[in-house]
Amino acid sequence: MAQALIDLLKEKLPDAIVSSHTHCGDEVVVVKREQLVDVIKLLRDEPAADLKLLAQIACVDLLTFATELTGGGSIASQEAPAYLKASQGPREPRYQVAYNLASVKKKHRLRIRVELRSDDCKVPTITSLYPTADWWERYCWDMMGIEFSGHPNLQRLLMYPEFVGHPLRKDYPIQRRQPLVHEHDFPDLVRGPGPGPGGAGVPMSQTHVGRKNVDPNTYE
Amino acid sequence: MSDKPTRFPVLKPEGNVPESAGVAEENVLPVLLSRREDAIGFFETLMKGPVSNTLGWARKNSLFQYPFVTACCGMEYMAVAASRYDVARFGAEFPRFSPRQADLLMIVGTINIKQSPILKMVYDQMAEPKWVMAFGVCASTGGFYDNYATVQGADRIVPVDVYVPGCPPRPEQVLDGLKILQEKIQAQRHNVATLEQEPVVSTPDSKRKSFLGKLLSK
Amino acid sequence: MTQKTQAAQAADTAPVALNPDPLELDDELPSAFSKVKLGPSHPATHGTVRLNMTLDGEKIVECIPEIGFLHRGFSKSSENATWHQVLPYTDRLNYVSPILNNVGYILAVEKLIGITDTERSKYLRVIGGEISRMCDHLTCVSAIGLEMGAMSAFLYGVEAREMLWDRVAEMTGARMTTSWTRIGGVATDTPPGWIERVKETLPRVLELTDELDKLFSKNRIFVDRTRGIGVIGADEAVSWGFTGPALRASGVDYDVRKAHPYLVYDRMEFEVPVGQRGDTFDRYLCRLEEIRQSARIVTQAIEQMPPGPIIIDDWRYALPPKKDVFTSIEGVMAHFKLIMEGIHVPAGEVYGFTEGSNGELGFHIVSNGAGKPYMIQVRAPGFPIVGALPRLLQGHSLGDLIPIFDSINMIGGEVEQ
Repeated sequence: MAQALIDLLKEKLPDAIVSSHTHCGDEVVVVKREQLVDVIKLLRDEPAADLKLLAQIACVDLLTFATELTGGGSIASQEAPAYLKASQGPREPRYQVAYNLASVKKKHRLRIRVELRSDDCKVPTITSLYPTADWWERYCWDMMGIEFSGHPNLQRLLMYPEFVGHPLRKDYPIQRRQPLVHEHDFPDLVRGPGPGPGGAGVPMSQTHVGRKNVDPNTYE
Repeated sequence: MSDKPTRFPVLKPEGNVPESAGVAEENVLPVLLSRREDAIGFFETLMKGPVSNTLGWARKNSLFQYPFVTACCGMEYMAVAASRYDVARFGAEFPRFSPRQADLLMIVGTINIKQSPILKMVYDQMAEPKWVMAFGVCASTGGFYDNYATVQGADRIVPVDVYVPGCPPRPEQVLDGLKILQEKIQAQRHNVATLEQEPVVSTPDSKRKSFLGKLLSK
Repeated sequence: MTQKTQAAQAADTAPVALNPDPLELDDELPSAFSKVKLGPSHPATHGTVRLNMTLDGEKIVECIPEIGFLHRGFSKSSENATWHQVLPYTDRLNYVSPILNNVGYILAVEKLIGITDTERSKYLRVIGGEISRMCDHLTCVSAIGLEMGAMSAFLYGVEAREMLWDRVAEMTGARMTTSWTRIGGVATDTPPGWIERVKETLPRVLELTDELDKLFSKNRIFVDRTRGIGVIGADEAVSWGFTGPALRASGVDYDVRKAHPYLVYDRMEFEVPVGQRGDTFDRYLCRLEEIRQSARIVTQAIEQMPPGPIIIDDWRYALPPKKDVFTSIEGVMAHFKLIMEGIHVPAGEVYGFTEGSNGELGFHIVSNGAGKPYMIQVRAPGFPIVGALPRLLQGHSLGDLIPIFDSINMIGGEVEQ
C-alpha cells in the first residue's frame, strides 16, 4: 500500500533516496539529510501521498547496537566482554532520526529515516512544514543532542536547563542524577548485595557502609 | 557507637539477629533515660495534657490537605476524595490549593528533579504546624524509577511524617495512613502559643547602626 | 438631536493629539502586560505543566507551556528491563487507561516478532481496552466539570469509574496499573461470574453517563464556557499532529480502530462520534459519546468471545503452563530462559500504533535481538496537543484556559514519558 509512496519518491526525487525496504508491515525510506525537507514537502503536498499527519520524530542511538546483550533487569545488563567491544570500531553512522508520517484520508503511512554521524549530528528542521515538529525536534535535541538547524527555539523540553548531557544517549549512565535542590542522603540505607550500584560485588560484611559522623536524626 | 538511639535499623556484618551477641548491647536504651523521660512526661501531661490533647484532637480531625498531585497516584487520590472511599468522614475533606491555608502536604506521585525546587518551595510556604504524607512508593522512595530524572523519595527534600506505600496504594491503605498520621498528631505535644525567638541573623559590622544612627544617617 | 457646532464637529474629525499628562480623565490608563506562571503544582493543570502566560488584564496575550515536571525516564528505564518488565512502565504512561497502553505496547512488540495472539485473548484485550477507555473518558468529563466548579458531576463520574475499576480489579488483579497483557496473549482470564457482573455494571455506568450528560450538555453555564472556545479547524488540527477525540471534534473522521483495524475491531459494530466545530464543547461531547460506544463494543465482545486459551502455546515467547514447568525438562528450560534472559525479539525497527483514549498511541521500538528493548520511544497522543496549546489559547481569556486545557485531557505520564 505504501509501496506506491516509495515509487512516487523514486520517480520524483530519485537521488534523495539512499535505500528503502519494508519490515514488519512498515515501509521505510532512508533519505539523504540535505534533501530531507524536499522529500517531506513532496510527500505532504502531493495529493496522491497526502501525508499530512506527522505522527512522531524518533531518534535512535546505535552506539551499543551490536554489543548490548541479553539480560534484563533481573540479572542486570550484561555488557559484551571487552575484547568484543574493542574489536568493533565506533559505530558510524551513530544516530538515526525517523520521521513517522501518516495520511488521515488515504490511510497509508511511511517512515523517512536519516542517518547521522556522531561528529555531525545536524538535521534541517521541518517546522516550516509541520508546526507540530517544533516539540518533537526539541525532544530529540533534549534527549539525544541532535541539532535541528533552523529551528526557531531549540531548547530543552523535558529536562531542566541546568542539566548537562543528553540522557537517552547510550553513554549516559541511567542513574546519574543532577539534583537541583540539596538532597538529604541516607548513608546507612544499603541496597544489599548483588550486581548493580549500592552493592555490586560487595561482600555482605562490607555492606554496612556510611559516613560515621552523620546523624540520621537530623536533616543535614 | 553514638549514644543516641539509632533511628534506622543498622545492618550488621553478623546479621540483624537479636540473639547475636555483638548486636544486642547497642540497641538497648539505658534504663534510667527512659524512666526520666517517663517522669517528665507524667508531669507535663498532668498540667499541659488537656490542652495538648484537645488541640491535637482538633488538629487531627480538621486537616486541610494540599494535594501535591503529579502522577498516577492522583487517580487514587481522586478515588479517596470521592464518594465511595470518603476522606471527608475523617475531617480531611477540603483540599486547600494554597500552601498558606493547608497543613497537610500530601505528596501524591513521582517527584522529578525538575519538580523538586517547587516541592521545597511549597513546603517552605506552609505555616507550622504542618505534616507531610508521602502518598505512593514514588514519593516514599522513588518507586521503580531509579534513573536520572527521579528524586529517590520526597524525604530527600522535605521531612515526611507518614509513608503510604503502594503503586498506587488502594484507598483503604491511604485512609490507614491518614489514621496513623492522626494518631501521631494526637500524640504530639501541642501548645496554644509558642514563644518563638527571633531568628539570629548575622549582620555585618558595617551595617550595624543604632536607632539614632539610622535616623540621622541616610 | 442637537446640532453639533462646527467647532465640535471639527474636533471629532481632527486627529487626537497624544496627551503627555497621564492624569487626564479621558485617557487610557497606562498598563503593562503581567506575566503569570500557572503551575506546575496546580489542581487544574493536572499537576505537571507550567504555563508561562502573558496577560493583558484577563486576556491571554501569549502562553508558553513548559513541561518536563513528570519526566520519569520511560525510554531509558525500558532499555534496562526485559520486554515484559517494561509493561509496568507502560501502565504509567496514560495512567487513566492503562490497559490501552499495555495493549498498544504488546501489539507493537508482536508486530516486530511477527506473531498474533489467540482468538480469546484478542477479545479480552478489546474488552479490557474499552473498559479502560471508558474510565479515561469518565475521568476527563468529570475533571472538566470539577475544574469549572461542578463537583457533584465529578462524584458521579468517579463512582462510575469505581464500578468499572471493580471489574478490572477482579479480572487483572489491580484497579489501575494492571500490566495485564503478555506477548502472545493476556495474563489472566475472566473469573467465574465476571461476565454477568459486567452485564450488570455497564447499564449502571451508562446511567451515570446519562446523568453527566444531563448535567452538562444543556447547562447554560457549561455551554457558555465551552461553546466556541478553543476552536481549531480540521486541516490545522492535522498539521498540529492532533489525533483522537480532539481531532474528531474538528470534523476529521480518523480513528485507528476503523482506519487500520487491529485485534477484532473489524468485527464490532460501533460508531465514531465526529464533531463539527472543533471547540471545547465538541471535544467534551465526543468523549461522552465514546463512552456509550465503548459500552456497545464491550457488550458485543462479550457475546462473541469464544472459549479457549488466553495465551499462545509458543514457548519462545509465552511462559509455559506451570504444570509443564514442574514436570517436563523443556518446560523448566523455557521458563528459565524466558525469565532470566528475556524474550528474544528479532532485530529490527517497528512503529506500532493503536487508538489510545486521547488519540493515536504509537510505540517506536528498536530491537537488536537481545532480551530487552534497544530503544522504545512512545508517541503520546497528548504530546502534540499540548504543544498546540499556544495556538488553542490565542485570543482567549483566563477563564477560558481551564475548559480548553481540560478538554485536551493532558495526561502528564504520557506527555512527559
